[in-house]
Amino acid sequence: MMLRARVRRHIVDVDLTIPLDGVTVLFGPSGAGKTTILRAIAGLDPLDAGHIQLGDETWNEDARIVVPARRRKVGYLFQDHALFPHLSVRANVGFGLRRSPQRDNDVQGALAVANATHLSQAKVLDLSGGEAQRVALARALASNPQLLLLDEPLSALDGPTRSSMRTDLRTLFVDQHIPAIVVTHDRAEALALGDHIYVLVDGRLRQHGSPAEVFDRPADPSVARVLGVETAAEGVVANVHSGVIDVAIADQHVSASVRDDLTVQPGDAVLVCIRAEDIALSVGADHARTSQRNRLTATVEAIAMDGPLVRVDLDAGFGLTAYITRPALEDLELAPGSSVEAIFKSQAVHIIAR
Amino acid sequence: MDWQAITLTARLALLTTVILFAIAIPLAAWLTFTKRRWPVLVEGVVALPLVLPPTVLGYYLLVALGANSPIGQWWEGLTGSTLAFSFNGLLIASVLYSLPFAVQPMMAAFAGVDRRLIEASAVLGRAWPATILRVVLPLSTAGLATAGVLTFAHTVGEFGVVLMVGGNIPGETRTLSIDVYDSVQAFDYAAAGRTSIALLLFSMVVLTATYALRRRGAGTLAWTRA
Repeated sequence: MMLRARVRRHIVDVDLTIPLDGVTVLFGPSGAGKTTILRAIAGLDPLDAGHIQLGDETWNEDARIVVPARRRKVGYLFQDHALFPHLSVRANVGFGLRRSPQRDNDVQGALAVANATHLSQAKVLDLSGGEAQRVALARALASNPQLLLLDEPLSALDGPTRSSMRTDLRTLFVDQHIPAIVVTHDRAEALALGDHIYVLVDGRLRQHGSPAEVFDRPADPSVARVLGVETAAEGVVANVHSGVIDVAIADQHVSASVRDDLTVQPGDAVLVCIRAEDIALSVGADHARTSQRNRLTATVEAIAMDGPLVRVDLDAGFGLTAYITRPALEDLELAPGSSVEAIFKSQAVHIIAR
Repeated sequence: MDWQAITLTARLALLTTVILFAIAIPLAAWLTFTKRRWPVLVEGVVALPLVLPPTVLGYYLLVALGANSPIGQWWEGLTGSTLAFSFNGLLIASVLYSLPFAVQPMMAAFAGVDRRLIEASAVLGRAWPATILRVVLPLSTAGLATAGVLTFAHTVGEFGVVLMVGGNIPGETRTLSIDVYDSVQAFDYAAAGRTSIALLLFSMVVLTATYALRRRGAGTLAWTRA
């Protein structure tokens, strides 16, 4: 089944064809228009123009056809749960179900699928963030939606809850065979949950593909930036030989592996993308031979703690950012002004033709 | 004390409140949640009794409900009695005159309901009537209580419209406020004083109750004029 959508609303103008055979991630920075698209698909907001079709059902056709949200049979998970505070957990889960002898079983079943059976007697106002999200998920699942829409489902949760919920969500999507569209600005979430990823920047679709494709091969500088590829430097191809592209950046040279989908000639302007975690740092005259093709002499410009890691900004003739561990920082005795070698494989260098 | 006037007033206020709830809940819900712009005109019309002199409103009602009007003639053909200067006519006038006192607190309360809960109800397959009944109303109890108390109190206290539309017929249209007026006209200051103090105490109780409710999160009452 395919979801075909041309969504035009406010700053958003995208054309999406989403195969609904797994989990689709709409990824982008806040303000990119992800939630706008999700709400339009759910029927919560009208389109300025465009159309939305699920399989052969037409949900929107400009302003002429608008199927109301209640008839779309989608499950929608709101960012902060939106549980009905005046109803019990069970009444919340059963809210969308008609009265029938089957109803209690359906409620119980949905709670079980969402790993929330133990919450069935709890009061909604007493639930923690993670518990509330499980109940909200059970509520969305209870009426057997044909499509599940999740708006930043984990962003309101604390760290440990988030990672356990992330695993559970993925398991649930796979086991229940419910197509899902997840909106997120979190890289780890996108990688963990998605089968397909659509990258949105400033209301436009910039790239789509599998998470590996998109994260390893950002299509353009704006995608590289939102994906958190820390280094994106402009250079010129100096040479292509033996499967290696030699790019001149400032007065340095960087080697990158040749790829099938990239044809560059010497003299071409390119963008060189390197992820901070792919760069190793070395101090002192260590001239041991290594398979890593890139060894750049650089000066430490700034050091900043970033969670469990340390972010080191370098000047190698161009800006370069590396992530190292805290013990490594102590070992290397780095300080702003220190001279280091930045080392990385040619495969870690991603070239974007410009 | 004129017990006939007291029971009449209580009956009028109670019926007005009940009828207004049936009218004001859907009206307030529509005005609060519609995405169109022209209902703002309806909102203006609903609020008219707040600013219009009761005599003006009474005059138009008298014209609309009088024996020569289509409504008045239709009613007379149906029941054999006139609408103007009768309890039923007074009831219609009261409902219209107290409309903003029911609709406005309800709108304030409905607007305070988290929008996403209403969206959640829609996505879960519920149409507007079910959403109003199962989500909006249960989360607007303080606003509904305010609307009820204000409507009741405002009906008890109305004077101009009653005099215009109802006249002063004992047991039919003679409410407490008319009773005070009547007593003063007859130089019976003692009777006027007794009725007045009763109405004053009643109003004090009502307003205290209303403000207590507001502290619990009902809508604004800046226009309270009951």
